[in-house]
This record gives sequence, C-alpha cells and structure tokens, in this order.
Amino acid sequence: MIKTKGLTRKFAKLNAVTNVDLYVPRGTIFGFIGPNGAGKTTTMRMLATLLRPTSGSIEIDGVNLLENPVEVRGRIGYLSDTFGLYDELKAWEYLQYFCGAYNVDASRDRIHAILDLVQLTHKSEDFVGKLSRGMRQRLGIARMLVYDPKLILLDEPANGLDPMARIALRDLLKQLRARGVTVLVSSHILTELSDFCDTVGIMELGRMITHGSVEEILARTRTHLRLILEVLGPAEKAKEVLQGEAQVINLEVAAPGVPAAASDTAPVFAKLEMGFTGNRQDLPVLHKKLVEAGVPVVAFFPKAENLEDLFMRLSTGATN
Amino acid sequence: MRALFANPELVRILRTKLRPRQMLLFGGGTALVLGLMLAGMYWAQQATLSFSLTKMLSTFYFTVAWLQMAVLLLYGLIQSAQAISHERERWTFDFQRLVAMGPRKLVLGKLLGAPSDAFFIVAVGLLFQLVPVFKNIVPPMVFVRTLVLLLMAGLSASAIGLFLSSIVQKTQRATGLATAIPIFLFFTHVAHSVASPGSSTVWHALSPFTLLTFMSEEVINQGANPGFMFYGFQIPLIYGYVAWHAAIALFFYLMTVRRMEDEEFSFVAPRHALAAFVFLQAVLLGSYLNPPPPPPPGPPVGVPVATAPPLPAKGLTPAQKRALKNGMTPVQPPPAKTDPAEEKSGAAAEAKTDSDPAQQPDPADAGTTISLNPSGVTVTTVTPVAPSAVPSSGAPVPSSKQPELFHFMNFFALLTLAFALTPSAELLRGRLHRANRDEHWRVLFERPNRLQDSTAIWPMLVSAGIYAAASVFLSSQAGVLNTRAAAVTLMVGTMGVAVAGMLLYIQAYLERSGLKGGVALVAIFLIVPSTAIGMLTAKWDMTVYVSPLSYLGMLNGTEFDTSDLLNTQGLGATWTLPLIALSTAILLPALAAMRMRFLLDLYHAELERERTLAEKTAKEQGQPRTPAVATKALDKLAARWEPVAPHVPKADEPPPLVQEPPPIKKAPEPYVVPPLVPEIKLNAQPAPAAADTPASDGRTTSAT
Repeated sequence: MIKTKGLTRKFAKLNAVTNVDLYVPRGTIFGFIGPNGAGKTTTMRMLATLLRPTSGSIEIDGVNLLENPVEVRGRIGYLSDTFGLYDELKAWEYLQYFCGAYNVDASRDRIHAILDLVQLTHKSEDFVGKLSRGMRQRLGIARMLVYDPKLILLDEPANGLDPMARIALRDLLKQLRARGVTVLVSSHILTELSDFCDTVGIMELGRMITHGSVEEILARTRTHLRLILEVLGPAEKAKEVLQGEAQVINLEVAAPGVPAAASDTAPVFAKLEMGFTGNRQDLPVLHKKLVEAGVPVVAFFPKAENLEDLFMRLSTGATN
Repeated sequence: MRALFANPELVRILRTKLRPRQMLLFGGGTALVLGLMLAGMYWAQQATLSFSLTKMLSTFYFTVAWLQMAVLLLYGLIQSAQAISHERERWTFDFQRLVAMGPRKLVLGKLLGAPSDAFFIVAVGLLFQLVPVFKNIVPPMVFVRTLVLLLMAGLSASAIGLFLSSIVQKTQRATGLATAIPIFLFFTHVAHSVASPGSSTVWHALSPFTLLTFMSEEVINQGANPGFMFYGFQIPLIYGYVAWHAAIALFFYLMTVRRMEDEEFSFVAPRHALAAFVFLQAVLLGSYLNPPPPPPPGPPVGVPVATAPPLPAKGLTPAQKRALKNGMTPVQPPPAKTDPAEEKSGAAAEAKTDSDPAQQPDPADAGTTISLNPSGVTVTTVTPVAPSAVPSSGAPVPSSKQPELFHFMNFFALLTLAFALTPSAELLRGRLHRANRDEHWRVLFERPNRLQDSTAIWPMLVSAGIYAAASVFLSSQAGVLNTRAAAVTLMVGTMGVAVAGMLLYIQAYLERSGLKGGVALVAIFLIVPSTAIGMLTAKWDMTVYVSPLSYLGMLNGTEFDTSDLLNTQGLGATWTLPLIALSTAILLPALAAMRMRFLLDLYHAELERERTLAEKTAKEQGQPRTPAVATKALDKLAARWEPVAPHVPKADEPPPLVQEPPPIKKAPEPYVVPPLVPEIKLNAQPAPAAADTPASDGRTTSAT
C-alpha cells in the first residue's frame, strides 16, 4: 500500500527526515514510534500529500504521490494530533459537509450509520463545539469514514482520551484493518501500539532506525537474553555461582534478600537480573548448576521484552 | 447554477454565517439603520424651502449605494481575508487541502460564501433602493448597473481578500492588509477626480467609487454618462469596470487556488502570469492607440491664444505619416521664448548643434513626440522642426517623448511578476536534488515543469519579450521608434530578469525564502542611490543615472525640466542605466547558477560519502554491497572528479623532514572457538562424583 524510497525532507538547514525507506502492506496497521522531533509527523504529512519531499519517492496504492497528489487525496484519511472541527455546525452537518466534499452519498441514513459506528448517534443534533474531547476525536475519525479511505494516517490519536475511549479507538482500528484498510498510526503509548500493530518503525533524528514486526525486530536486535532469578535468602551464593559463568553478563542484584532469622518482617527473597549470551536451550544447564551448588532457586525465567523495552534499547533519545 | 449553490463549502459557510437568528439580526439591524436614515433625510429636507422628493430619494438611493459599497469593500473584504487564515488557526486547513472536491471548487465556495453576510446586508439595502426605482425617480437601468457594480465589487474584493488570507498565517495580519485596499481604492478615485475632471480613461473604470459618482451625477444632475476611448472605440465605463473586476477576481481566484494546492508553489502559475501580463499589454495599448481628444473649449474672451499653423501637406517624415495614419494629430510645437538673452543663447546652441554632428537629432525621430494628456493616455505627434526653424521666442523642443505610463506600468508589473513567479526555497532545493552534478544551467533556464519547481527566469524572459514587442509596436505606432525607445525597453525588460535572478541567488545562497529580503533590497535600490545623489549633489536630474524611477519619470522631462538631459547629453544619460540593468540581469542569474553548481557538488559529495560508508558497513557485516544501479550512478558521478595522483619522489628530491612511520603490523587475533554446551538429557544418569577431567596437556587424570 505504501512504498517510500529515500524519502528526505529538509527545512532550511534542518534535516527533518532523511532517507526513509518504508513498505507497509495493504490491510495492516503500522506503528510509528520515536521521540518528539524524530520526524514522524513530517513523514506523515508527506504521505498525506500536505508536504512535498525534498527528494525520494512515495507510492500509495500504486500511484506516484509526487506526480498525482490530487488523485491520491481521495484515498487518504488524515487525522493530525492537533485537529480542529467546525464548532458552529451540528454533528450531522459536519459529516454531511465531508460527504459533499468527497462526493459520496450524503443521506441522513448514511450519516446516522456512521455516527452509530463511532457511538455518537445521540449527539447528532448537537453543535460540535459542545462535544467533549473524546467525542470530538470520534467525530474526527467518523469524518474519515464517510468516504471510506484506503489508507488512514493517525498522528497521536490517543492524546487526551480516557481509557474507555482508547479501548474504543483500538477496537475501531482493528475493525478497519479487518475491512482491508491500511492504518499508519503514531503514538507515545507504546504498550497500546504493540497490542494492535502488525509492524512498527522506530524513528530517530529523521532516520528510520529499524522497522518490521515487534518479534522480528526483537530477534534481529537482541544480543542476549535477560534473565531474572529469585532465590530464598541472601543473594551472595547465587552471585558467586553466576559470576563463574562465562555466558552470564551484566549481573545485577535487584533485591539483596535477608536470611529468614534476621528479621521477621524483612523480605527474605533475593532478586538478581542478568544478561545471558547463550540460547534458550542453554538455560536448563545454568539452572542445574545453581541447584547443584545449593542455591535455593524460587524462580528462574527469561524476562519478556515488549515494545517499550525495544524502543528504550534502540533509541538514544536524541532529537532534532 | 444549481451546482454552484450545492457547493459543499458554500453550504457550510452559509450554515455557519446565515442561520435564521443571524439573518434576523443582520437584516433587522440594516433595516433599522436605513429606515432611520430615510426618515432623517425626509425630516431634514422637508424643513427647507427647496424640498424635492425626487432629489431626496435619488440622494437616498446613492447614499445607500455608497454604504453598500463600503460594506462590501470593508466588511466583506475583511471576512474574506479571514477565511483561510482562520482555518489555519483552528487547525482545519489540512483537511480542507485534502478534500477530494479539489481546490478550485473549494475556493469558489469560499469566494461566494466568505462575504455572504455582507451580501445579505447589501440585499436588504437593495429593498430600500427599490422605492425610488418604483417611483420612477431612478431609472431601472441604473438599478441594474448598481447591482452589477456591487456584485463585481464584492467578487473582486472577496478574491483579493482570499488571496491575502492564503499568504499570511494570522487572521489579524490579513485583516490589516485587507483594510488598506478600500482605502487605496478610495484615494485612487479622489486622485482621478482631481487629475482629470470630466474626462474618462480605462483607469477610471477600476474604481467603483468613481462609477458611483458618475452614476449619481447622471441621475441627480442629469449629466451624460462618460465613456472612455479604447482602441478608438467609445466604451461605457460600466463595461470597462466589469472587465477589470472580472479579470481581477479571476486572477486572484487562480492564485488562491494555487496556494491551496501547495503553499510552496510560486504565487502564480507561469501560464497565468503570462496571460495576465498579455492582458495588461492589451489594456495599455488600447488606452494609447486612440485619436486625440477633442480640443478643449475656447478661452475666455480677451485672452490671446497662440494658434498652431496648419501642417504642410508635403515633406512629412515616415514617422509622421505613420502617426497620421493611426489617427494621431500632428500639432505645431509651442512658441519659442521671447527673452533676448535666451534668444541669443538659443542661437548659439543652434549654431553649436549645427556644427556638432554628435548633437544632431536623430533623423528617425526628429521632431516627433507623444504628448500625454493629464491622465497620461493620449498620444499625439508633433511636427518635425529643425532647430533653425524654431522661432527665436520658442522653448527648446524635445526631440522625442516616450509613453512613460506604459513603461512605468510594465516596470512595476515585471518586478511584481519576478516575485510572484519565484517558488519557495524548499522547492528549489528539491529541484537541485533531482538534478545531476553539472545541470545548474539547465535548472536556471528550465521551462515550467509538472512539479512546479522551476525557476522564474524563463517566464521572466518571455514576459520581457512580450513587453519588448509591445513597446516596439507602440513606439512605431507613435512614431518614436528610436534609440531612446530601445534604451528604455532594454532597461525595463532586463530589470525584471535581474530581480528574478537576485531572488534566485538569495534562495540558493541562504537556502530559505528570499521574498522579504528581496523586497527590502529592491526598495533600497529604488530609493537610496537616487536620494543620496540628489541630496549630496543637489542635482536631482543626475539621479537619472542610477534610479529607474527617475529615468522613467524624466522620459518626458516634466518634473525637473531635464528634457535636455536625455536628449542633448544623450548617450551617457540614455544608456547608463539600461546597461547597468542588462549587466545585472546577466550577472545575478549567473551568480545563482554558480551557487547552484556549488550546492550540486556538495550534495553529490555527500551522496558519495554515504555510499562509501554504506559499503564499509556492508563489508564489515559481510552483506552485499549497495544496489548495483545506485552504485553505477554514483560511480559515474565520481568519475568526473579525477583522484589526486599519489606523490612520486624524484631522484634528486631531498628526503621529507618528517618521515612517515612504517605501518603497524597487527598480530592477527586468534579465533576463539566458543565452548560447546553439552546436550542436556533430562532422563540421563547423574555424573559420578569424581569424574575424569581432561588436563591442559590433553592427558586424562583421575581424582584421588
């Protein structure tokens, strides 16, 4: 659906986006991750035909965006992080305006069906200016649904939404994906993105550091496993054993643990975190050594990494 | 028409601005004000002895028309000027740019919708104006003309307002800019009225206030509706007004559409700019190519009048014959001075002129002149008179006069086009990214392309060519096709190209928009040198060497009596500024091209560095090289730059002072095989307590 090659945008002396190559297949949700000033919004604005790239090419649905921006516009829905609505119109009038602007059926039945989809039917006759933040957000999404775009670009759509509205947004995006719509979404709430994104791209300083599915990127970028060991009593003995192991690196004692006799109230479990350069199948060997050395192992497991860990690991936090 | 009113943008604005409550408020308020005004006028007039209902109602009619015009040109224009900037401020502009109906339909909706409340107020006023119409005090045709006048003023004001709104970011600034326009129009009207009472030109048709004045004179004082001469035809002012305002509305509408398409585009598309420029030439030529106006009414009795003797039928120069053929009336030169001292000096000058071939007037233009009427639009020719034929009491007659208004208008039009045709610096950067290393000249002179990122040089050259052709045509028709015509044409034409080159150079050098800097530089260039020279030397006529405004202003030597400067001092004064303009028009684009060449080199060097880095990384990671196509293209570019040959010392060359240290030979790092982890068998037997362990030398030892 989206193909970019060498996408670059400069503003005077600032390189906002540099050589971004992107491929997003049809009917998938792509998550854009990056700190503020990484170039996410600039990339989205270029994809939405609102900004011309300095160099590089963009192809959306097989159409060259540079040469035929007007042709592509009817297929794109774009919702920026700071979007406005026409407060002087009623909710149904607002949607009717966009039906006319996209030359699609503007009947009241259709408009009510769309309002129903975003659960705003009861607010149909209300002025847009009187809607709450979450309702305005939903109306903004409803605006995109009136003309059934093939590609939806959402820039920080969950900003300012309450938990219920976020869940509703997530479900809506999943519904859109099921209908074959390609969604490109940027968000700072990484745990939410990992819930519904098929692929993610991490941007920093205008460059795409990496992109692919979360599992793929984890497998590609992971140099070692992160292990967690909980033992009964103090951590010294376990530490002694682990320090002798060549595959164990970056050993840290998260909680030192206290002998049971020392205090009745103090925690008696020690917690250690470490990196492990071996594979998962090597773990039983290490476990066996700990047991044989007399370490009272309570729990021993690899820590599951999520999108947030991945981002924190790959991003240096630098901004333009 | 139905499609027009089904325009979604128009419907949206009407829903926003003219809901029943607002209509009631606007309509009621307007009706109240006009009703009170009518009542007040009636009471005030009734008290006088010369009360006339007819006069009162006609005065009321035109007072309302003036108010309607003020509402459209102030309130309507301000509403339009806020239409787009307000969308920006409330973050709806992006959606508007993306809608599938396209910018043309969108801007059309705004054009009609933005001043809709002003139109509504005007419509309420029209109801009141129907009273004098139904009472046969104001003719129905005047009412129709008033309607046309108001409609066209509203449309053109709305188009100008929308354009202003599209180029500024803040509503407040757009409002400020918009307010200046009606004030300007009003003062234009006043200036016209003062300058040329009683005679109309095509320029009078610009101001709606002027037309309203003429219409009120026609109705109240029963005066004739004056028209203007255009290509020899008498055109009613209202036609000229409609043509002017339709052209203005269309031009600004197209420019706004372009801004909605992409804000980084130049203000105007090259084809639209050329069309507008041709329109201007047509208007200018039409205003010149007319028969002379009828002679003014005779002077009061008792005042002596110097009458011009009839021209001889034979002995006319070709220039005069052309002028006669084009309906221009040759006239006798003014009588000479009568001062004996001047007569003496005049005789001396004649003798000198006779003896000095360099001072002889050009035979091609001798004695032919264009004398402009006060509004500067009518061309007449003057009889060729040899210096010796000038009566001893006569003033020196300029050898030729150029149509200065024509050149003035073109000068400012070309400067405006240079700014309007220059795309943003970001587009220029994009164009350079698409260019190969040595294509800077191609970029400079590129014709308008599909991506709209070509420079302004080519359309400016075409515009200058159009202007030159029109200038030659007009000069030949007026019989003043001479070296001065060539000089002024060269100066004006090349000045436009020079400004376009300057803007391009600023953009290429600063890599950001140079419009504001360009405006400042042009203003400085037009004002500072001439002011400095004039004030320092106290010889204002010398400013003709540095200032285009002085040069154009002194073409006819009206202000500073410098007619002899451009004529008798001739060569230097005539050619200095045109040659400066020509060299600037060559130099500045060339400088811009050189800067673009530098940027292209820089860009391709950066590409090469990135390629090298990518290759190095790929080599380290054992991955294949960069794609073959990119590598090939980069190799081709890199081949243009010969690598520096390594230094080979000669036999008799002394050894270098600092010997290069021998390369450090690094011992190869031993490859360490990672320890193999034995396979875990969950059901395997535990190992014996004392197992055989391999010794470092490979022998097996037993634990004891």
